[in-house]
Amino acid sequence: MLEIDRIPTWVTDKIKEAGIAPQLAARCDRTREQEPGEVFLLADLQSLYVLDRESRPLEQYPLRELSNIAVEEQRSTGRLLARFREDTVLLASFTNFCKESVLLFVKYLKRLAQGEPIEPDPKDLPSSKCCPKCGMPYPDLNRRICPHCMEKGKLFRRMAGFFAKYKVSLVLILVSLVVLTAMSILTPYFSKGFFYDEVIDGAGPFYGEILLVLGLVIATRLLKMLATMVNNWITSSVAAKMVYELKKTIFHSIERLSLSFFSGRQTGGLMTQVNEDANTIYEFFCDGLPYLIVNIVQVVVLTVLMAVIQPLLALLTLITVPVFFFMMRWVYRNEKKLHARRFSGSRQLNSLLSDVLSGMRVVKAFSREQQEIDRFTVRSETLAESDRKLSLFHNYAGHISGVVLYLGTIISWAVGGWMVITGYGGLTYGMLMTFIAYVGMIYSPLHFFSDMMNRSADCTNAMQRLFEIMDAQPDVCEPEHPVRPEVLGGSVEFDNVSFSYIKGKRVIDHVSFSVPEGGVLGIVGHTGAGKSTLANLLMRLYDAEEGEIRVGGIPVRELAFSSLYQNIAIVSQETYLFMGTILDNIRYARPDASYEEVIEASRCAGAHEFIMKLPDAYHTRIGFGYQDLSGGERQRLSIARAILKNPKILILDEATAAMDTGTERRIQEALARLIEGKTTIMIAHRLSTLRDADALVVIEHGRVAECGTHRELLQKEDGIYKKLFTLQMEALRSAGIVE
Amino acid sequence: MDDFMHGRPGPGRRESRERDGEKHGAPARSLDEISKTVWLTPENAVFSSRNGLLWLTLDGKETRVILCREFPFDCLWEYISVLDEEHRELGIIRSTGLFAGETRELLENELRRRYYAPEVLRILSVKERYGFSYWKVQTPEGEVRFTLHDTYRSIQRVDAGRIVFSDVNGNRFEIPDVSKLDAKSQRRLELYL
Repeated sequence: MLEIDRIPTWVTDKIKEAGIAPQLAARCDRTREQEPGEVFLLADLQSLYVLDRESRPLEQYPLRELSNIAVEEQRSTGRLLARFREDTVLLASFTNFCKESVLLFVKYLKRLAQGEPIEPDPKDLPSSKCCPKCGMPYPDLNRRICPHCMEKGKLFRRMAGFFAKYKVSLVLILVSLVVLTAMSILTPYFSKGFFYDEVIDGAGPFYGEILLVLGLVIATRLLKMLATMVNNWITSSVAAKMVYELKKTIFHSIERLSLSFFSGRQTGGLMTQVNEDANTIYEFFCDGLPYLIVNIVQVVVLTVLMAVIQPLLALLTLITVPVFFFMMRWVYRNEKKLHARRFSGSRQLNSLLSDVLSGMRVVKAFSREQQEIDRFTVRSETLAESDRKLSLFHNYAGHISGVVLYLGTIISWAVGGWMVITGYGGLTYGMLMTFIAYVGMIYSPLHFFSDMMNRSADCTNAMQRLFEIMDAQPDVCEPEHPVRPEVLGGSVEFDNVSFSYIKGKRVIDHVSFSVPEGGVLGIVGHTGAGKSTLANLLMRLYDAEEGEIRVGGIPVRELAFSSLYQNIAIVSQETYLFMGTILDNIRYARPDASYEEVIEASRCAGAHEFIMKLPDAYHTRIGFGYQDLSGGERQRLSIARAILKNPKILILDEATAAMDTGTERRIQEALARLIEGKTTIMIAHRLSTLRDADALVVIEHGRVAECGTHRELLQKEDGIYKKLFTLQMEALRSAGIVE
Repeated sequence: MDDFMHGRPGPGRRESRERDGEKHGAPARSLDEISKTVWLTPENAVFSSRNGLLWLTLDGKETRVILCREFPFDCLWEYISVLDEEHRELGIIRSTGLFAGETRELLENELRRRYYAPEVLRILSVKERYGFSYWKVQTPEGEVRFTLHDTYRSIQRVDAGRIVFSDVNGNRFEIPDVSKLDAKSQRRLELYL
């Protein structure tokens, strides 16, 4: 039996009692009335069973009467509905915690209903939903990472492998830091302990040799300076390289992935993450880690030295160390909180600002200036308040930690002074001065340690994300031995194709159609019917779940990416122009095109004229902060791009939507020239643009509802196309634009 | 298998579907019909319950219906849109109070079930790790743990006091008034607002 969720003993007992042998089981966490409770869904080849609590009898539904079963989403819960013969029945309710299980149950039940045996996908087994180490269910099934068991060590080792080629530089950084620390520790000894006790003291062995002290002090200073310079020099040259390489790796990994990876995530966040993560990782490894090592060494050495100078005094002084350490952690935690609040405040203010500024026309048109000013004032005050709190905290936290820090010094002054006067433990004046200098030095590493925890957590997080991207497998892969036909035919066939972006929500459902080479096919349907998805599938941005798509008679899955992409071009509603010159943008598809070809293509697209009116003609820079183009102009550039590519197959995805009639006319002409002799798939909801298509396919709810020519479809009584056409003509007529 | 519920839109995408439904509504409806609102009252609509589902008899035709609040955050029992399985609107109930006794209870129970979201009484702990936050909260039904991804964006501030959490599984949790929460819970939440 495939237990999508593990079943408890009372269910096993009930099954035995009923004498059935179910092959499928899933758990719901609500009763049918949506009260809290446990309900189990079971199924064998004949029936679907619902076991609603222990106290109730097993309900049985014959599968051969089942005509459909699906989950209906509610806000935080869902309901499983089934249609038996003509009657819809509520089978179970559940919260979204169980939704995944129920969807799987439906998926396998549909197979059972068709008499197919269950072959569970290992991903669907209950064991794969829990961390294998601690057994806790993964918090997010799409990202199977257990927060408790994540192997930090492994992450760091893998990252270390990445930095292996900078080994020499990293060792040099470390060495320079060690020299730096050694010099810092020696300086107080030469300038205080040695100077007072051995040089100016009459009994000292180096009495009167001030030049020697001077020389020593200057030498340590010079060495220290040298070490700092070496350190800075290496760090800055390595840093840039490392960050660059990290970003390159991340960007490369991202580019490699299929589109589905991006639709599952917020892309905007992804890009900023690339930048921030690279910096976080770099800072930890190049800045944090070497300093951590040096600081540990420094603390140990200083403690030992202090203990050597005077053990009792060292003990008394170091009492303040734990106090200081825990206080610093408290300070950091609070500071982080206050910073987060300030950050959120400034983010809110910024988003309001950009919102209002970009919507200024609307604000003015509805004369809402005062309300917007009020809204701004409130957020601005919130930000000011959090700013005030942060600086206040900074102020008193700094003073308090200063007091604790000073406490250590005061203790050493008092006790040490007493020791020098009474001659306790042989402490000399010079050594006391050295000791006091060391007390001051021991606090800065502690300061650093208290923040190290946070930094290592941030870095782990960043590395986790980085490796997640690097390890993600592209869904759409080129076959091992791709077919590379010398000339790819232009025919397009969709053979029983099904596809869904999200499990259980079919967007394309058993769609079949074909376009002969050079033919023009129009695809009609309302927004969200799945028209653009068909284009995505043809371009292999996604792979079909079932069925096959063939181009020139060859399945797209078997074609080399290059063969496919060289032969397909798309002109879509959203034209994306990259930052750069107009020339670059037109040549995007074929960077080696000659100037003559570019001019020819833009003339065909009706773009040449407006390009020549721009200040720098083809060299005009477009994109953020440069020349602004209108929607129609952008559209014509993208058509020029497609013409230049001269593909076998052309997809026009609502290419002229959202355009005024005049512009549309001109673009229509350009398009007519473009599609000449090419296999064309035109997607539109404005039907007037599709009249010239050889054939039309009407898509509704992901299925082919009707197909035929414009004339044929109009003759269909009660046809969808006819209805749509009539409706649109009516709308045009009432707006006074009759075509 | 015939698919009477295929491509059902999630709650977020409903608007566009409704608009499309109008275009494609069978039988074809003219622009006039689309812009006219049908108000459902005890006089023209009869609601009943069968197989655990809600049915509406309107103009002599029985349809299984889904209720949707048009203003879910402040009108709990007013402006209820009545949709069929394809999410086409059959009419609007101005207020459930127009219906008496059992029918009213039927409608309100259906709405309660549909819009069920546990109320958070106390926040017991919040742990943040690697971009996710793990919450343990007290609800009227007991302790619940849930996970948020991208914590800031998963916590929505609806109006002055109301907070809505949307977790990785698509569950919603609500705090009707943050200021009525105990001090500890408020402190735990504060950071994310």
